[in-house]
Amino acid sequence: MKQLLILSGKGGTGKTTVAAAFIKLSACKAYADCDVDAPNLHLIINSSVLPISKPFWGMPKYKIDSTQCLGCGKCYQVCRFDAIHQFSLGFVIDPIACEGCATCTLVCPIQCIKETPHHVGNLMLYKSQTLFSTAKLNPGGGNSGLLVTEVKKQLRQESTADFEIIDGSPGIGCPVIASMNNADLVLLVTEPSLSGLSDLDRVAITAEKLHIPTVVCINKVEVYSAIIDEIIDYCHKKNIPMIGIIPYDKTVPKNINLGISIIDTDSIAKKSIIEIFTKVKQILYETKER
Amino acid sequence: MKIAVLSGKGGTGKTLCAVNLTAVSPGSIYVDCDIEEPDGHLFFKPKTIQSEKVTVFFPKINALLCNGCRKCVDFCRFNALAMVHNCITVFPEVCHACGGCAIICPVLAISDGKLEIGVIDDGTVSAIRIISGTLNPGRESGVPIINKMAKMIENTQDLVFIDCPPGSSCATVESIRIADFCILVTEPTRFGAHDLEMVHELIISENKPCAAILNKIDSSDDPSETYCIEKGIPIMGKIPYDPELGRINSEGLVAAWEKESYKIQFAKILSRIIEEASHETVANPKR
Amino acid sequence: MKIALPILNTNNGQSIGPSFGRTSHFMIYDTLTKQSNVIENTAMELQGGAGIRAAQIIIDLQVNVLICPQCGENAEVLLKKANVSIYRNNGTDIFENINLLIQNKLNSLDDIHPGFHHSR
Repeated sequence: MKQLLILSGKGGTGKTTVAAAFIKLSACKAYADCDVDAPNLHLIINSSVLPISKPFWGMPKYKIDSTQCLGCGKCYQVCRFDAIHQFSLGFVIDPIACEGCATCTLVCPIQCIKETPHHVGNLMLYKSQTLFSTAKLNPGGGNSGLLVTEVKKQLRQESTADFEIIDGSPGIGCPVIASMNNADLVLLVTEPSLSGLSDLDRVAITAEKLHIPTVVCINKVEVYSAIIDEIIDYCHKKNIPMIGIIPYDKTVPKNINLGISIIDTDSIAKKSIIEIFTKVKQILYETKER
Repeated sequence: MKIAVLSGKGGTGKTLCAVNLTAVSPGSIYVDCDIEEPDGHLFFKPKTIQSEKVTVFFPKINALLCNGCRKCVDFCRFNALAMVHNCITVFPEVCHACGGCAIICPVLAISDGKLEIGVIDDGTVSAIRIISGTLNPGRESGVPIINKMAKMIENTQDLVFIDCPPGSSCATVESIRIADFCILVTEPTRFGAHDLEMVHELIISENKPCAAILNKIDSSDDPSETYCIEKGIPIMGKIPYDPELGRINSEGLVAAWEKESYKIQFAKILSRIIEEASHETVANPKR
Repeated sequence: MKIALPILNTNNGQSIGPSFGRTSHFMIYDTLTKQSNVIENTAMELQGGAGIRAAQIIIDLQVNVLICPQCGENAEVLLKKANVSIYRNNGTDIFENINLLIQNKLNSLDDIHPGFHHSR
């Protein structure tokens, strides 16, 4: 089995668009969206089946039993997250500000503060001829490496495919590192901007530490600019193959809005994406099994 | 009046709008709550009057007093403490600074240490006050920095623009807490519309009135506009897709200060926002 | 000498798993008694600090050597304090790796990734 992970560092570089095109090109049988903060892949995939959904629980939060609360205010004094508020009948914990540290339970003289499960989002699995694993966080729900691990786990448990595509999270934090687990190759989709390059560097370093081979492509290239040379130089220095440039193409977002895959259009971006995909496959099957 | 500027998706032009709306409002305050990537100051280039470090609690272990009972290790919900050879080790990046370990320690071996997590810069430029929070790299949560900035402007009567973190995380929730009105900046893509929905849900759950600015408009259909119309989100203005505006912005310049036409464009949007927001706050004074 | 390894249960039996903190089980092998023992990793489902907690479990069992493909920075700090040596596995076969270790044919795991840490 080979697993391709698509990452970007910076948001808005076109990571999901490339992932969706690759899924279509390879007729991929198993794929996942690990961008659990703002999952978008399901919008292009348009699965005909309803997902099997199961709740994902975060760190438990705490709740004051208002029928028992004496109103002593000890919990209010120790909470460092300003999560406990006084009201006419006693004290109440704001579930969004509460971080679940349980310090308030240590000082309550009558132990009327109890742990309550905290629903942060749902894991979803679309099961038809293909498997598609994703998740959605509730607003204000904290993202975590654990949720990304779960998204990948539910795909792994059911999948018998020999090629998997993972749309990763933006950024470089804990969810990204979690999405790298088991990946055979990372494709970094960057854009010709300074922030694109600086984020590319941070993700590339992380992948290097985990010994995952990395390749780079530059998306949304409108005109030649010095930053493109900088990205190419950077890749050369880091010994990271730069495998292609995708031209900026106004029809891409338009077609996505209409629900049409780039692969079914004659757009100028399509040709580059096909070339990049061919190179990715080649490199992926050169790398040895992990 | 405190106006929060938000976007679901990264790269929609949230900072562009927050910066330029502030730029056409002399005497106002710009607060950058996008603490992981505070870019507002790059545009304004304020003269900093003062910088203040933000610190949080950090357990300071007195090894001489520690009796190795491990109660702190077992209590910590974040696994920030561990014990090797009867010695406590603290992991600062994992610690949430709750102070629970200091309370549970039976021999008072844990005291209040201070850990710097970031900085708040407070400066001015052209009669505009710029408050900008920066989270130190490697720290996961900057909520204490946001809360501190919120306290700084809590009682002001001036017009305040809050540049919020993108997405719908806890940091976004904290950033809009003190806002009277929220502005959503959108882009005309399906992904943009989907992420708009997520952040709109968050605003509804926080019970704040809101309106939208549609950015990067071109001739094609705009799924974000459709969403706004369906949900009755008033549209304060449309900013056309404009390579020149993009260029000025990418060079770190304030468009409204560079060209009269942009100044007029943002001033128009601003007056609509003020009108809408005043109407909302009068109609629903409790919010 | 006590050796710990993260274990992955697959259709083809057990092998060395890809992660340390979020592995489902650890195998503890004692070279003196030649006994192996599989324990559950209670740190697996933690939201944050899984690596730290897993290291604490290993340390409390008085393990001397850990064989795994990767390990977070925080876990490494803790394991070093407890004088646990960390080696990178060669292939995923459990007993082959134990033999390689005894023959001193494994490399120490000096590339440590910055950790999964937590997120809110």
